[in-house]
Amino acid sequence: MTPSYPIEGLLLPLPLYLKYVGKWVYWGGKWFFVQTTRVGGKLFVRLVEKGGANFLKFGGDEAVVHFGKHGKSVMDALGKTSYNLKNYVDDANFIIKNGTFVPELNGYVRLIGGQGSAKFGFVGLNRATGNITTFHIKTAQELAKKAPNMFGY
Amino acid sequence: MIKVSKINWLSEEAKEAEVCLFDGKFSIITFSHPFKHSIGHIIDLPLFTLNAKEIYSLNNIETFSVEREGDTFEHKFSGRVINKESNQILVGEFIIQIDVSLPNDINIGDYVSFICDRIDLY
Repeated sequence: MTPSYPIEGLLLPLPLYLKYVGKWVYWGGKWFFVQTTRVGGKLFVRLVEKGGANFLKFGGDEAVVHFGKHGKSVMDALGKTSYNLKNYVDDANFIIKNGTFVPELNGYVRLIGGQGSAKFGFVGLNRATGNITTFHIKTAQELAKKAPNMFGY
Repeated sequence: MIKVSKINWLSEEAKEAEVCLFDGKFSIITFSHPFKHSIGHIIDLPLFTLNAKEIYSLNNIETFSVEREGDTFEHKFSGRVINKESNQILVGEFIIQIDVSLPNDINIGDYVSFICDRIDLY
């Protein structure tokens, strides 16, 4: 991949880089994740550096605590048979980058399926520190009650 | 009457908590986010399951029970079906609404057991 301006966060025209969306690309000695982002109603491509400033983490050792409490239910909702702490933090970042921001809950949600009723991954953020505060599963029923605007109620 | 008997904050800044509820006989560790109450607060029912499964009829065994799996959110319950349309089961004084449909051969008044990954307090 040879983007003209390989700067993290820069918006690139979607048609030129469409085939790279959702993939990791190596450029200039760094790995970037290629994602779409909507600005002003239009879709663009954005590069997010692996381990860079846009890769968010839990504060302190909270990732371990939250993984211990929520890792299994997240793994089940994702339909995976194995799951580790790195997967958990990576998936939280995926939801931040690809989910919908819910102001009522100060976090991002994304439908991730799962057995039974619809399941959403929810990632809470501390906007002051930029740290992840939580990553767990919410049901459609809970979101409909706590964030009705999300469903247009 | 069901009250909050203990709060263990998983993330105080996110208002995410393990909330212990007590009905006078049974205790259930629920998950709540955001949780904005304090110890002694009287909660509204029902509670809600995440991933309820293994719902079995107890036939003629009329019993209520609550078992927690270690220090996780997983629980196993026994209780009586009180509303089939809403999939609600009475356990002690708790009303638990499960997130899947009850099997067709189970009717109101039947006693059932089930497990779930988590009990949510909205």
